[in-house]
Amino acid sequence: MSKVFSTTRKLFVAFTFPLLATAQAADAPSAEELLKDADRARGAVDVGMTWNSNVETVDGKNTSKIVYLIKAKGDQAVAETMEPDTSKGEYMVFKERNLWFVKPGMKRPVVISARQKLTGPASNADIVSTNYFRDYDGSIVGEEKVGGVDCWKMELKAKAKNVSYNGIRYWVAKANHLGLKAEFLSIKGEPFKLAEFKYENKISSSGKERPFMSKILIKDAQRADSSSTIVVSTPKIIDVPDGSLDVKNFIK
Amino acid sequence: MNLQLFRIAARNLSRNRRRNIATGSALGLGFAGLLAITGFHEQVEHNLRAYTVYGARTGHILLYKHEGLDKFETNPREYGLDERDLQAIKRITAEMPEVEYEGAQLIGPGLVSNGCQSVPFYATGIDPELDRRLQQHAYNVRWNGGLSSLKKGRELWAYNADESVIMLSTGLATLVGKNSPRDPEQAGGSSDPIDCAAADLNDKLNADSLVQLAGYSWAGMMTGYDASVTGIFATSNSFFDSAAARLPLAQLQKLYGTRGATSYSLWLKDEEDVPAVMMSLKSKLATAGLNFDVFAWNDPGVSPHYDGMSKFIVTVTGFIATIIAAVVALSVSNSATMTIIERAREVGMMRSLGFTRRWIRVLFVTEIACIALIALISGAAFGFVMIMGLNALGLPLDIPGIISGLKVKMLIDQGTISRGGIAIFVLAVTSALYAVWNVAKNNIAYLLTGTHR
Repeated sequence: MSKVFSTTRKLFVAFTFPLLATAQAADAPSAEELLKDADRARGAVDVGMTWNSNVETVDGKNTSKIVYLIKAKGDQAVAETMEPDTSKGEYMVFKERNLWFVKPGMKRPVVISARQKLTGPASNADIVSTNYFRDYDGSIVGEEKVGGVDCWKMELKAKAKNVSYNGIRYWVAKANHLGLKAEFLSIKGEPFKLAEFKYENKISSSGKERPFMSKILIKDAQRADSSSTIVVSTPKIIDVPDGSLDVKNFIK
Repeated sequence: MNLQLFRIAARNLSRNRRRNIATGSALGLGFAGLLAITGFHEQVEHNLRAYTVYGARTGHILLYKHEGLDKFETNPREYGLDERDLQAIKRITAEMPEVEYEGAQLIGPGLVSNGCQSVPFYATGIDPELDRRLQQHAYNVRWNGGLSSLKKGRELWAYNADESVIMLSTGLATLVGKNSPRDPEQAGGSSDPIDCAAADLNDKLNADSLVQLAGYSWAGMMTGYDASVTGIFATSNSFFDSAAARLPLAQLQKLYGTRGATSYSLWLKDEEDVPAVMMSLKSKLATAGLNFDVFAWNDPGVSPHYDGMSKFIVTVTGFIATIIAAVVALSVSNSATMTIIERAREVGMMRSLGFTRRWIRVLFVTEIACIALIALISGAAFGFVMIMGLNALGLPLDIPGIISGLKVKMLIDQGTISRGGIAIFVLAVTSALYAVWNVAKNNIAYLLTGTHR
């Protein structure tokens, strides 16, 4: 009797599970659509933009604060250091997956490679600037709540070798397609950095108001006493001429 | 009695010259071998010591912030010595006449860039003038005089401490395409973009010796400046060869935005003073309320290479010395056993004439002692000539972890000769005594009939 019941249960699961999965897939947007929407709220827009980033880093007993003025357009961005005074006039210049560090007095910019972006201020900048749609192949692997918000859980795999992380676990809100949480994975697949995003800023583009990132908390998964908080303020659409964000323009 | 004993012993030795010469040769060659192996050990110990203390700039005594040895790299701001710490240490060491040289050192990572690519480096920052004194120290010159890590260009001390110069390891210089070091005024380099895809990129990169250094300051900021590659040096292993860099302390401090250091080293006039100075230093630091860790130069934590190599050399030379001792002991024992077996009837006759067992044992031991004395004198002379000859040949000696270029320069001194000689002599006498002991205690009739054969 129990054997018959067990067989019936297996048949029921075998037939109904694919139907349920199909139903879920039908409800879910495509992974590409989710990544594009989420990237847009973190600055990956084709129009020119500017905003301020106040970065506070806690490393053990030490705390440091840096203020950047960001200008971005498409695949390019420049972070100009405004504070502290000792670093004023320094730039981090982004183009696609490349990052350069430019400092007044230096004859040439310093190229920061993908692996070199894993620590320090460059890693924060890299996490914030990462264009997930461009750099990663994504797939929806489940549904989870993050801070009470229903999210699609995504697995992202690097499209190329020269990206900083081999993979990312990404939680994107179902309602507004905003990326709320990310785990940046090491080669072993273990979390290396953790990030939480908030979107309390608004930007207006094409007559439409959209949420924009306001706070990012980045934690070191290996060190509990190391974290950075990036507060984003005054985001606005501006005119950024083509070529003005090219690294060549920052070498004097 | 004693004179008679020696006469009989001398007469007996002349009866079987060939065997006695063979026994003496085994003893003499064994002694010469022992001198060579201890001479080699002494040399390697001095090489390692000079390389660790002076060549690698470790110092006789090192000071770190408490737990700084293990944690500095993860948190230099907290576990590094800041400017006040360094001043406090200098105030204390100023009252220590045993100190010959002293200075701070800074280590840390960064990037060296050529405009096209950046390569990670791991740098050591040291006061160039202190470095000159260390590399030219009499002890270092004596034991590592043939070594020069400099492959191209000039050492840091050829420039002012405030000049933006850097020395790269050979592999790192190749990686960034800067294989032609130049003085800063001839460094060249411009802000013009480099065509990183050009077929003649290597020539373009080598056309100047300018590089950009970047790193994170102790405060967590990204920093950088231009520097001239003024020297290229060799390292002792392939891992460091593609990543090592050497800068003036002030320049590395500039990169990390600090006036602090990783550690502070003391070089003493006399190494024998290390324990006493360490004790005094710890006491003074505690009195001043400074929570620093103090290490001796040979502490495995600060000199793992010295510790590992030293133990390895002791094991190897100890093993060879044991084999030599075993060969000597077996040769003497075998020779003495054969002799006493052949002379068993003679022993029986002497016993019947009233000579005691003890006297007979002393006779045989005296015979071996005479052979041993002659063999040791000959062996010492042979060993001395052999060692001098090998030293004169200038044979290359490569010690893992030390830049190649060393020559065989075995050390031989009176202490080694006397200790080795006593050891071989005691070994020979003991072996002979062991062989003669059992035979001599047999009864006379037994010995006279030769039954024991």
